[in-house]
Amino acid sequence: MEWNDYNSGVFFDEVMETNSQPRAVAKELYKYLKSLDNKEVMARKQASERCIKEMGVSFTIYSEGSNIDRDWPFDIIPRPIPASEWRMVEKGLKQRIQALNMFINDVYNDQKILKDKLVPRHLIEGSTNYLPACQGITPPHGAWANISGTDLVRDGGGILRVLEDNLRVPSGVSYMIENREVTKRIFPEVFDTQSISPISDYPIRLHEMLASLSPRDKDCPVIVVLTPGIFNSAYYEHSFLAQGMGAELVEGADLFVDKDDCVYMRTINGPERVDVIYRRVDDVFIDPEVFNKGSMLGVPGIMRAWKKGNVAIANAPGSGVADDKAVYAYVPKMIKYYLDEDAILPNVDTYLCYEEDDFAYVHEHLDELVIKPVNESGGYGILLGPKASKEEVEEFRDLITKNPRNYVAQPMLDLSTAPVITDQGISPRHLDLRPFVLQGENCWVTKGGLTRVAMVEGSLVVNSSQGGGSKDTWIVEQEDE
Amino acid sequence: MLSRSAERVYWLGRYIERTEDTARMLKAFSQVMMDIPKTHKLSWNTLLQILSAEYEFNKLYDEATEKNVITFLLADVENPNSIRSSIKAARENARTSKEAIPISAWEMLNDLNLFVKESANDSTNRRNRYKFLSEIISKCLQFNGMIQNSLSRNQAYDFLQVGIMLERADMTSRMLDVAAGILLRRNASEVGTFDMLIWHEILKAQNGIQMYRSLNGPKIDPTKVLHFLLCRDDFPRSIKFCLTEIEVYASQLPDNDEVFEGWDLLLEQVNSFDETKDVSPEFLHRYFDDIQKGIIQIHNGICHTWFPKIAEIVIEPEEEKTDEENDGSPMQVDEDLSQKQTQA
Repeated sequence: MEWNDYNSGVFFDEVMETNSQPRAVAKELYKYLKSLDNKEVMARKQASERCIKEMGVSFTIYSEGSNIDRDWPFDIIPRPIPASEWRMVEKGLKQRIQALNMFINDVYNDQKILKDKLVPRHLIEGSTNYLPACQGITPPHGAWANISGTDLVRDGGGILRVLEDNLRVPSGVSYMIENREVTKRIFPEVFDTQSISPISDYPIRLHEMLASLSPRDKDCPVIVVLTPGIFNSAYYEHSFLAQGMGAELVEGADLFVDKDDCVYMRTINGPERVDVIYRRVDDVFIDPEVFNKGSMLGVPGIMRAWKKGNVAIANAPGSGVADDKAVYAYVPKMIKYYLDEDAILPNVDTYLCYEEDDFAYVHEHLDELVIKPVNESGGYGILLGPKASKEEVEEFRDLITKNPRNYVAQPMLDLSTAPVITDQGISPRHLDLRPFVLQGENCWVTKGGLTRVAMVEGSLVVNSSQGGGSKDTWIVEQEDE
Repeated sequence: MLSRSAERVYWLGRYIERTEDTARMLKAFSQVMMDIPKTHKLSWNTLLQILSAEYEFNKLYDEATEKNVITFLLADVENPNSIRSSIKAARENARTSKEAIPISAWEMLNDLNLFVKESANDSTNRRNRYKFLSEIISKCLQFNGMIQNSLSRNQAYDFLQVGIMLERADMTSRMLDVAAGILLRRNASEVGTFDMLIWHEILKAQNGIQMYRSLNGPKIDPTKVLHFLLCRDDFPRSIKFCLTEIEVYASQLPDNDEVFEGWDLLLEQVNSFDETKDVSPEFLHRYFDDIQKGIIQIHNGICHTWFPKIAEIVIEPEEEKTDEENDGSPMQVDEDLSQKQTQA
């Protein structure tokens, strides 16, 4: 495959050090890709598309009231990361999730950090993600966010930064695993010449972590995955994980809470007690007795059972309080406050629109900044200042002025790039990375994560719901390390 | 049923199962080798050990490289147990007992034989291997489906099932014997994670991963994996299940006393695996030896009781295999216990 025209411009490229020289971590990959001619590469690209269809890897998008099941978008060139760098990232992620869990536990209990005025009280108690129903609870091991999918981006200087924490119901891990399966089928030769960390043990680790939350001291606790159902965009993943753990995949109606305040599932042998629920339902839908009265997705009484410690719920209800783009800005301070350590992984600079100085700055530089609503996910409701029309900018000026608490601003990021195969040949595209962190009795981080890539030239939007693609991510052990 | 036909159908069952199981094993091994980092890879020779084919292999090749081993096991016509040879032998046995099986199943075998003949040589490289092996497995399963759904439950069916189940038990015990021998002797702390991947792949090779998980959870415990594939009554690829099936079908056939000689002892040996205790490599070695001897005894009983010419396998495990030319007689067996039984 010819790389002659490859030029990632001013951006940090994950594979190429210069336009003609690969990075050390990508040496073998580059050599291998070069050995294939264009025809062969295109044949493998087609094979990957076919493979994804055969494996039935799909995701659902909502479009005008209907649901469409789409094949998972995948680019065949893997994204390599040096193992030495990953060890640092792992440490940084563990540190961050530890501080975040301490923070969540604090705001639902002693509120020390609010009393010390490190984080403004209005930010927490005014947040729709703060659930008063969770006050006074400490879940097993003090862990609220048991599964998180931290979004990392690499800036122009090559530094990995945390963009979002995603502590509610992060998805994508099944695609991480499936991407590797596809690569093994279409590029089986590349695994011989280098040491790439295997990743297929995630369901086992997840099961171990969930089991560590079980209220009953049993060898084999009953673990279930709670899905909103087949119309959910991540249903593929829900069934993938249930299958991978040998756990039941249940919907709200399959569970009930009995007079003893324990959760049971309805089986043909009668009720069976459930110990741990991995919920993939938003927390405000899980119990119509407490939250959203009209919810058909939840289980009446489940909060009662959880508060009594009769069942573990992961992630714990209320964890979302720390998954808010304004709270995000305080994480480095939290790390210092709770752990007395400096943050290993830096944040992206963030302007809080409710702070006077920040507000003024944002107003002046609206057309240079990225404006994000604090509570949305999936890349919706975002303004990319430099790329927006005048009308769009003014529309956001109004929104921010009316509700400053609801918005944060960040500088436009020089997201790193990596080569992807397009119809016109190999070309650089922007990407991010979502590793997954498990926190129960122990803390564990995936080797790599899900790399999402913006398939449109110059675009920074990597969300699969908005035309993003994905790549297999390699943690490569280099010999000279 | 004619003795001659019974013998053909029995071997048809054995060869079609051998084709499928070899394909499953090559696929699993190739997959897991990609997951294990360069520093901890297994030797390709392992596959030869499982099939006791080192001797044959060394006659034809210098070195057990991936390419050589795969070519030998997949495409080599000189290797009587290669996929290529197995499916050819299955078809030959079917050709001479066509009246006993449904036409659609016969056509399936032709299709499979042709497919292997045409594609085997191009499928030794990794790139095409996965698809090729998957296709073989699925075609073998189609054949089995045709038998299940359109062959009367007559004596041909009994012999076919006995052949299939005996071969399956044989292949499974060989694979587990070698895997346990290698993996349980390794330094656990050093290679623990990668060994789990291998046990995982062994379950996958038997299509048993989901069934295992729903029973034991996702954690891969070598003792539990072994127990699952050896002693589960309800998993159709476990050795216990295979033996139970053989008992069912052989019981329906006349004068079966000799086949069941030593049966209770064999079952007792199979059941002696205790998943709640640690198993030592030494115990396992004896255990698999007993099972292998048991399988050969059943085979000999079957041949002696029902088939035209008596051809027994002499149990002399420690002896080198003698190099024998095929004399064209209907039955050709090897003399060594460890060697795979074949019929020309």
